[in-house]
Amino acid sequence: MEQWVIILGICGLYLAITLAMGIIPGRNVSNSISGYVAGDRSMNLLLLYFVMGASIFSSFAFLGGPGWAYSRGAAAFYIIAYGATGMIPLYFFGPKVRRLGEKHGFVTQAELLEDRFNSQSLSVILAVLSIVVFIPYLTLQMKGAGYIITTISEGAVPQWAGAGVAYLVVLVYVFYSGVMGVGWTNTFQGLFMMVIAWFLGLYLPEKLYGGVGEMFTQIANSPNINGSQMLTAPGLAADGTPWSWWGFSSAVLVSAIGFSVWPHFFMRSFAAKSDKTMKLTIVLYPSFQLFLVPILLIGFSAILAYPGVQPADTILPFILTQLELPVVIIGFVCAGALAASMSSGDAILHSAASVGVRDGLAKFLPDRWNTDRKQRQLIRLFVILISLIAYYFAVVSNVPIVNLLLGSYGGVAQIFPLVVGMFYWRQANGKGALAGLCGGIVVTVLFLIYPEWRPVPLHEGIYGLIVNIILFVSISLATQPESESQINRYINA
Amino acid sequence: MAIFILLQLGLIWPVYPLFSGIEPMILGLPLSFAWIIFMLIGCFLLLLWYFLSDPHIESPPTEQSR
Repeated sequence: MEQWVIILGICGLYLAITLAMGIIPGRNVSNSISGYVAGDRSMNLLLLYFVMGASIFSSFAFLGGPGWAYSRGAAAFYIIAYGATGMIPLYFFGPKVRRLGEKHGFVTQAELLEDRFNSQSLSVILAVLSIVVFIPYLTLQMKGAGYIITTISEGAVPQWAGAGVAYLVVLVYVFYSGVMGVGWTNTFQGLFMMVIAWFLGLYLPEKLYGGVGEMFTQIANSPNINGSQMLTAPGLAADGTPWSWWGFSSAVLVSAIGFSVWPHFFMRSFAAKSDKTMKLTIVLYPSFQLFLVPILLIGFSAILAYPGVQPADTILPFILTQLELPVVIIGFVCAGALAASMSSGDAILHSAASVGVRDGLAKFLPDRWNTDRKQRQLIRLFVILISLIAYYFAVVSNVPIVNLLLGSYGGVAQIFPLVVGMFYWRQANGKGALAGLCGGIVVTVLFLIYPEWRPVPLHEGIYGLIVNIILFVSISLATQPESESQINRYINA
Repeated sequence: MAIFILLQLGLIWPVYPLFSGIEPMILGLPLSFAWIIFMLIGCFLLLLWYFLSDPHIESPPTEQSR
């Protein structure tokens, strides 16, 4: 039997287990929006921890993380840096969000903001923003999955089939079980990824250099690749020249600010069982971040051993094909990489559909369509629709969709001032929020498209945030605040 | 809050540049890498401190005594 058949067999087994784990929990939640979108607000610590952890660690972490370390050295520490503090605000918002959700039946981020700022337009803009950033995100996850399967099958399985099969599994359990399906599969996938990452991250430096310390010493002393430059923070920029502290710091800051308000992440607060569960999840979260350490070690290990691999993101599959590893191990690694792709893909798919229907479409439908049952059906319809659109971009179209994703962190970060204002500033009102959000997004997009217009080389999201906060504060101060009872509900939440 | 800002600055300019070199290596990792991990552990300890000093109004009494 050919080697790749065994590897594919292991991946197939993994897919089957995932499917089963995704479908079974769906039988225990109620047939309602709250059940489908927020898991009846019943998630315990274990589930919540893995849902939040695994949905952030995507194909990007498994393929892009080693890629950055490989090509840009210390610049890759950016990935750990923004997640370290990015999570902390949620420790304070999360429990408030959860209590408000429980009391008033909210299940998405935009519903909360719409209610506090009394503005339907805000909700629709947020829905559009979410879908615009989620579709390219999902597309990249699908591409990642397809790429892994194609590489290991030595081209026997084409990319469209690989991505298709993996995401058909995702589609089925998200369609059927909603967020609980996402929860249980992410727990399984998360554990799986962690084991694989630590194994490879420690094994590769050992095998190739005789240890982690030895590896870094060799890189630092290597004259022909300018290794010392590479290992000195903030590493190299995308073009191979040293990255500026301006660039590194502003990128970390924008990503950290955006981290806690990513809609698919933020809305998991509604699924938490209690405030304590929510808080403990955040407290334990940095342990998930640690899992990025071995991921980066994988990339570093290839710098001297396999120079010149292009594109850098393919470094992990490349190493796998070069090393004489037992076939079962390769199978597990591939399944681990699939897990990374799917565990983010499912959360994004689920959130995009929920947000699209609840916060976007529902605002335009007549009342008789807005029943709980109809909305649930619509969300399921959206799950299929969004999968198809992302699948189209992943395998058919050649539009360079990565560019869209690059801008997404800057865009998502613009939600942050609104969330802070919602809970902590009495004067904040709808007009200010709307102006701030729109202004921030426009400026971010503008500087993303025309980077040469920036006065200093800061991340475009910083400019967006500056404009956002100025507009939000000044217009809120100049106009009437929202009604007293509404404000109190949020300030005292 | 002050600690939070300190940790954030530790991850970016102006504090991180002070620890951005390669030497000394710590547990086989260059200082720039080890520093980021220290900051991550710092964030964890900060969160843990928030949690332990939280009154935990809704949890049962046995949990409060922790």
